[in-house]
Amino acid sequence: MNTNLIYSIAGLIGGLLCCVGDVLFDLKGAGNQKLGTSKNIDSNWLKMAEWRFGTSIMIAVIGDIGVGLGFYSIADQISGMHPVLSAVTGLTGYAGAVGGVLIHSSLCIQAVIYKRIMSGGEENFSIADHTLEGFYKAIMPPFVLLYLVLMTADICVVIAVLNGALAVPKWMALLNSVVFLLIGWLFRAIDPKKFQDLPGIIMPSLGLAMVGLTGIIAIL
Amino acid sequence: MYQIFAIIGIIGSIVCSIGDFFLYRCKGTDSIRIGKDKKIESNWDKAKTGDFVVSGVLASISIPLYYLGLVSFAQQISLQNRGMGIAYFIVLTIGAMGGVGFHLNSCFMPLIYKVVMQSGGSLQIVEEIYAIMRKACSVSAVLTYGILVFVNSIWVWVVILTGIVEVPKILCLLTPLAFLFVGNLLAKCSKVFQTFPLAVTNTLGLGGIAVIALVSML
Repeated sequence: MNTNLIYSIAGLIGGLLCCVGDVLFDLKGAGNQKLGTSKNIDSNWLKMAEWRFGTSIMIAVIGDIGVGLGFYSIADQISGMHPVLSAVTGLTGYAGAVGGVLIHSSLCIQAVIYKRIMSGGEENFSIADHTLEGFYKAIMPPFVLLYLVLMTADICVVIAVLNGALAVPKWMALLNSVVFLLIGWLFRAIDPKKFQDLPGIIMPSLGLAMVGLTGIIAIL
Repeated sequence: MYQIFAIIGIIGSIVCSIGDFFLYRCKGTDSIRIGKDKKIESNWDKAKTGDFVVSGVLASISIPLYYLGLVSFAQQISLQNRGMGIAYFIVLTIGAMGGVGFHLNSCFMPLIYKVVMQSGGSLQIVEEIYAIMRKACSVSAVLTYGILVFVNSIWVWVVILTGIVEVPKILCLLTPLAFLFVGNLLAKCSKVFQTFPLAVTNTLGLGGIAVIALVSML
């Protein structure tokens, strides 16, 4: 069996696992409000079960391994004709998957910190806000850097589809995280109540799963 | 291209070690372990937030870089034994991702202690958060130490000693397990090395594998 096919299948499964991790963490339910100095606190974290955040981190670590392999498969498939694009795709893809773990873990840990501090009562809100403000400022630089790296990897796949490096239909260039995120925002704009959590949950990870799907179709 | 990967791998491991150094210097030399599980360093609340940020950024950048060194070594195995090379690549891809989670856990622990305590929180809150983080990062910890350090080192020894990768046998010493052993020995021999982070030695061991890959290509 073609090893790149195995890597791409791992990429598809990995992306879908990341979706599961996102749902556990980011499906906050109705009546959620943004709180805190930087509006980085979700009021519904208090209603959500704590196991969801720990499990979400574990699933994200496993899922991102698959996502990294999915990008590697694409990089390997295009390496003959496009060595530079291949190297950039492979490196930013794996670095982006690493970033996915960082981004996901730090978001989940924020929720855990908030829940634990607030278990002492409503009067602890200023402690929680101050704590999460410090945490938020410290994690932001690597967070932004790695998100950009992940987007770069996604754009590399789009280029590989559009320039014919991958033998897939050109419309498949639309199957990426950025487009999926835009669709999520569009749905939220249409019905804010129903699709409040949609851009955060599922959509970007579903886009990453599509990298695996693109790799599979290119091989078959 | 795989020579370049190996060189990038060596650079990545050095950069990661520098990141580890920033993380471990937070506790200084006069820190004592506090808390119920003795997992908290008393000096963490005095550490600069910048050190955590620098460490996190350096780790995030360097892990994909030292991973390229491992990819390069996988390629060297593949030249003689394709199946074994592919298996090494997959196993190490999993292990390296575990390293990310493990490093993040190490970075987040001091940061959380510092921000919680400075915000008027209690040691109990910090320990409760750690307990959840430990559970969440258990998969990463197993992947890191199980695969990245142990399986990786043993795999490298096997391929060198059986001649699958043709390099001087002495290079078996350039592996995470060998570096870990030396780090432990130094820590036992002298107080100077007691604060010497063992994680740094592991990371340098991963760079050592990139050196082996490079030597085998020369």
